[in-house]
Amino acid sequence: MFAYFIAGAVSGICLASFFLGKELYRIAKKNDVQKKEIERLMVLHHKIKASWSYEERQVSQ
Amino acid sequence: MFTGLKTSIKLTMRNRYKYITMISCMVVDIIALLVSIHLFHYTVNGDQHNVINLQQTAVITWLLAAIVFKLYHFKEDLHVEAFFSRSWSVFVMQTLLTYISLWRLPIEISQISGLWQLTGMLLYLLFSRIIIASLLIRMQGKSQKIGIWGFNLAGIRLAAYFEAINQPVQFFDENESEPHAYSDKIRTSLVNTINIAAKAKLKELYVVMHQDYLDDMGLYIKLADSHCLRVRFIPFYPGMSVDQFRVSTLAGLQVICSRPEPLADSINRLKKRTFDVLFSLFVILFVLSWLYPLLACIIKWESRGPVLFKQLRTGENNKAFWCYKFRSMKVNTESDTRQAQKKDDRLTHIGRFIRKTSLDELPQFYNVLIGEMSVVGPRPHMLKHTSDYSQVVENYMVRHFIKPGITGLSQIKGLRGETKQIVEMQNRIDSDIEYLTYWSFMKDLKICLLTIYTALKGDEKAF
Repeated sequence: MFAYFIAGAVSGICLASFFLGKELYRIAKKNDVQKKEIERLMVLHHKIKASWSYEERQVSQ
Repeated sequence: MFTGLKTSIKLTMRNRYKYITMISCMVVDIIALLVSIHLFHYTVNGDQHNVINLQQTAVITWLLAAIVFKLYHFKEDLHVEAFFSRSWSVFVMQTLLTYISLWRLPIEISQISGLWQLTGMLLYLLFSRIIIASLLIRMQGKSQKIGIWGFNLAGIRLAAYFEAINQPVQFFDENESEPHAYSDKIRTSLVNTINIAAKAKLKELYVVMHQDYLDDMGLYIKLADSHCLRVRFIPFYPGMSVDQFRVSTLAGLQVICSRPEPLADSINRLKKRTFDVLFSLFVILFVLSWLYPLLACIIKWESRGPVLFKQLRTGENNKAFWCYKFRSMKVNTESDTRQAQKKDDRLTHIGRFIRKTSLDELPQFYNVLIGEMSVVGPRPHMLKHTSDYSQVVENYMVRHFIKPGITGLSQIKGLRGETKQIVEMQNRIDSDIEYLTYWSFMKDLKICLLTIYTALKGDEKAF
C-alpha cells in the first residue's frame, strides 16, 4: 500500500512540475517578447510622430 | 505572412545542432524506456521472455506515437512549449497503446511493477525535457543573428516571431531618424545595410519594405549574392491586414490569395457533398415522409394557399434558385420584399410554431439533395436583400463563394432573424466569411449538433 502511495505521489509531483514548468516558461517568454515588441512600437510611434510634425512644419512654412 | 515565413525558415536550416539534439533525444528516450522496463519488470518478476516482449511493444508504440505527434520533427522551428506538449502526448499515447497491446498479446505484468515503471518514465520525462529544452534554448541563443531591415509594423512583428523561438535578431535601421516609408534614402540605407550585414557575417537579412520600393529588388539580390549573404524580401502593406493572405505559385508566378478557402479543394467539396446527400436522404426518408403530410394538412386547414412557399434566393456564385419552405404566412404580396418580424400579422398559428422550431426550413433538404444548397452554409437571402446589402456592406458578396445552407455559423451564434441595422448584417457577413475561411468537416458536424440543440432549446430570434 505504501509503495502505491509513494509511486502516486512521485508521479503527481512530476506531472504537476512538467505542466507548471511549461506554462511558466510560456508566460515568461511571452512577457519578454511582448515587452521588446512594445518598446519597439513606442520607438516607431515617436519616429512617425516626429516625421509628421516635420512635414507639418514644412507645409506651414 | 507567416505561412511564407515558415517556408523560408525551413530552407535555411537555422540550427545545425537541432538535428543532432533531436536524434540523440530519440535514442535516449528509447534507452530510457528499455531500461525502465528492464529495471521495474525484470527485477520484480524475473521473467526474461515477458520483459523482451514488453520492451519490443513499448518501443514500437513509442515510435508510432512519436510519428503521430511529430515529436522528433526536424523541419519546423522548435518551440519549447510544443516540444513539452508533444512529449506528454507521446507518453500518454504510448502507455495506452502498450496496455491495449498487452490485452491482445500473451504478456503478463504485475500491477505494482507497471506503476513503478510509469513513475520512472514520468521522472525521466520531466528531467530529460528540462535538460533538452535548456540545451536547445542555449544553442539557439548562441546561433548567428538574423538581420532585419525595415523598422515598421511588419518588421517588428517578424522580430517578435524570431525572438519567441530564441533566435537573436538585429534591426539595421532602428536608429535612423525617419521611418523609410517617408524617405527617399532607402536605396543608400539598404546598400549600406547589405555591406554591414555581409561584414558581420550574418546568415540572412530580411528586408521588410513597402511594395512600392521593391522595384530595386534585383539590385539588392545581386549585391547580397556577391557578398555571400542570403536576402529575403517581405512586402509590407501598411493599413492592410495580411494575416489571411496566402501565397502560392502558379506557372512560376507568385499568386496572392486574400483568404484561404478550404472548399476550393475538390476533396473537401466531395466530403461536404457526400455528407449533404446522405443527410438530406435520411431526413427526406425518415422525417419528411411522415411530417410532410401532417404539416401539409394543418397548413391547408388553417389558411388558403399552397403547402410550400417558394422564393427566388441568391445561391452559389450569385445564381438565383428556388428555395422551398413550408408556408408559414397567409398568402400576401410583400413576401419578396419584407422580412418577417416579431408579431408579424401575416403569420398563421402553425406558421408561428414551425418558424419557432425551424421546421419550416425542412423542405430545403430537397434543395440540398439536388445540389442547390448545402446542409451547412450561409443562409440564402432574398434577391432584393442581396442587391440592397451588397451596396452598403462591402464584403457582402463573399458569402456567395460557397453554396448557401439550411443552417450556418451565424445561426448558431444567434445572428439570425430580422436585421434592423446595417451592423447586424455586417456581423452576419463576418461570421459567414469566417465559416468559409476556416471550414472543416468537423465544424460542419458541430454546427449541425448545435443547431439541433438550439432548435430544441428555442431561439428568441426565431419568429
